[in-house]
Amino acid sequence: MQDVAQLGRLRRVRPAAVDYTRWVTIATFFLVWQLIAVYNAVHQVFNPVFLPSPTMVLRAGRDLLGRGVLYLHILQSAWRLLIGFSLGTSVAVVVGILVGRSRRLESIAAPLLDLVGPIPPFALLPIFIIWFGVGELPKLVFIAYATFLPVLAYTVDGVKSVNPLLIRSAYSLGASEMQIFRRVVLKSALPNIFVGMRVSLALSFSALVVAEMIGADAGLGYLIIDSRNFFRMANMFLAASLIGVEYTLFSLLLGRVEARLFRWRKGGYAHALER
Amino acid sequence: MKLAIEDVYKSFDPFTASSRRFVLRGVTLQAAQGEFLSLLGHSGCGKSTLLNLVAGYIKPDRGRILIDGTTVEGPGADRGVVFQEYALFPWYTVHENIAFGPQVRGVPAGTAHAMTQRYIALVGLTGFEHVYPDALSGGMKQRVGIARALANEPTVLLMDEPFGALDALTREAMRQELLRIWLQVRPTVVFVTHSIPEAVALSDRIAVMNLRGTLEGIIPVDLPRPRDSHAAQFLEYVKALEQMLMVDRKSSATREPAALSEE
Repeated sequence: MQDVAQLGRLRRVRPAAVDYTRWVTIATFFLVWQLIAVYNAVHQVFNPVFLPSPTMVLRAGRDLLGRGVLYLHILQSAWRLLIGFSLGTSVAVVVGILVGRSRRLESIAAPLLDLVGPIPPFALLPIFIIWFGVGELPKLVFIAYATFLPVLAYTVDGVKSVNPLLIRSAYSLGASEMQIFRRVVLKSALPNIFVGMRVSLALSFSALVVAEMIGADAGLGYLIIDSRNFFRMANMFLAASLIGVEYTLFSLLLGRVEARLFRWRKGGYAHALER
Repeated sequence: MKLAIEDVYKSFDPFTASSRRFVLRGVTLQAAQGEFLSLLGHSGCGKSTLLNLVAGYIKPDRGRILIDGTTVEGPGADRGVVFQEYALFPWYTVHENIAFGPQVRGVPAGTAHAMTQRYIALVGLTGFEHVYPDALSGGMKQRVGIARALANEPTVLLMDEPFGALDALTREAMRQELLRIWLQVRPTVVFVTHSIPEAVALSDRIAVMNLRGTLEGIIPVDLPRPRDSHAAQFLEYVKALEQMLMVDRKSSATREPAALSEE
C-alpha cells in the first residue's frame, strides 16, 4: 500500500496547462485589424469603405439586432443546414449500409458514383432550382446532396471493414439478422460514418451559403448578397463571421456527440506514449 | 449423445484448378453430456475447420453434425463459441458483452442482469463490469469471452485455441480457471488445441487428428483431476501423444503437401 502511495506522489498528474497563446493570437488578430482600419481611415491609404474595423462590424451587428432581422438570418441558416445535413446523412447511411452489405449492389453503385461523384455539387445548383422550384425545397435538397456523397463513401467503407469474427460471435450468441445489424454492423461502422459527417459538414456549409446567395430572401448567405447590393461592407463581414461561428458550433456539437458515442475508443498517436 | 459428427467431409476451393483439397475426409466423433473433448493436431490438420462446422459457420460437403439429435444448419445459441482472438465487442463494456446473449434472446432485463452478474463472478471479473475490453489484458479478455459464451447456457461450448494468444504463465493460470469453471458448470466442451500438455491436463478424451484429414485415434485420459503435469502418468500420456503426432509428421512428409486449410 505504501508503494502505491509513493507512486502517487512520484507520478503526479500534471494539470492541463491553460494555453494562453491561443487567446493572445486571436486578440492580436483583431487588434491589428482595428489598428489598420483606424490608420487607414485617417491616412486614406486605400478607400476606407473597403475595410471596416472590427468595431464597425460589431456596430453593424447591433443595428441589425435592433431592427430584429439578425436573429431571423441566423436561425434561417441554422435550420436549413440542420435539415439538409440530417437528411443527406440519414439517406447516405441507409444507402451505404445496403451497398456495403451486398456485393451486387456495390457493383451497381460504384460506377454510378464514379459518374456523378466528380461533378462538384455547386455545378448542379441551377438544375436543382429548375427541377424543384425556387422555394425551400431546392436549397434543402442541394445541401442534402452535398452532404450525401462523402457520408456514403465512408459508410460503405465502414460496413465493409466490420470484423467478420464479431459477426460470427454475434450469430453464435443467438442474435438475429436485425440485431446483428444494429448491435454489430452499425456500431462498428459508426466511427467511419462520423469521419464522413465531419468531411461533409464543411461541404454542407458551402452549399448552404451558395444556395442562400441564389434566390433566397433570408439567411446569412442572403445577407452577404443583399449587403453587397447596397455596398454595406460591415454587414458582409458580419454575415461571413456569423457563418464561421455557426460552423464552429455545429462542429463542436458533432465533436461532443462523438466523444459520448466513442468512449470505448482509445489509441492513435496521442495514446502511444505516456508523456 | 450431445454432439455427433457423422462421416463429415470438407474441402475448400483450390487456388489452382487441379483438384479440390479435402481438409476433412470422413470424420466421425461423438461427445457425451458434460464431456471435455479435445481436438489435437498439427496446424492445418483441419481441427479448426471441424469446430467451424460444428459452430455452423461453414457447411460440410458430405455427412452431418447433430446437436441433441438435431442437424446443424447454421450458427445458433445452443453452441457457444470462444475464439482465440476473443472477438469481444469493443463498444460494449464487460457487462454489456456478457449480457449480449441473454439480451438478444429476449431474456427479461432483470433476469439477464442477474445472470450476467453471476457469470462475471464465476470468471472472477467482479469490479471490472464497466470497463471496455480495450483496457483488459489478454487473460482477462478471454475470461470475458468464456463468461459471454456460458451466459447463454449453451448445450455445447466450442473453444478454438482459446489460450493460443496468451503468454505461458497466463496460459497455465487460465487452464486451471477453465477447469474450475467446467467442474462448476459442467458444460459439454469441444476444445481445439495444438498443445499436448494442455489437452492432457484438461480432457476426458483427446481426438488426435492427422494431416490426411482423418482421426488418428481417440485417447481417453484416465487421470484424476486436478492433474499434476510432472507426474509420471501424465508424462506417459504426453509421450504417447507426441509419438502419434510424430508418426503423422513423418508419413505426411512423403505425400502431397498439407491440405490448404482455413486455419
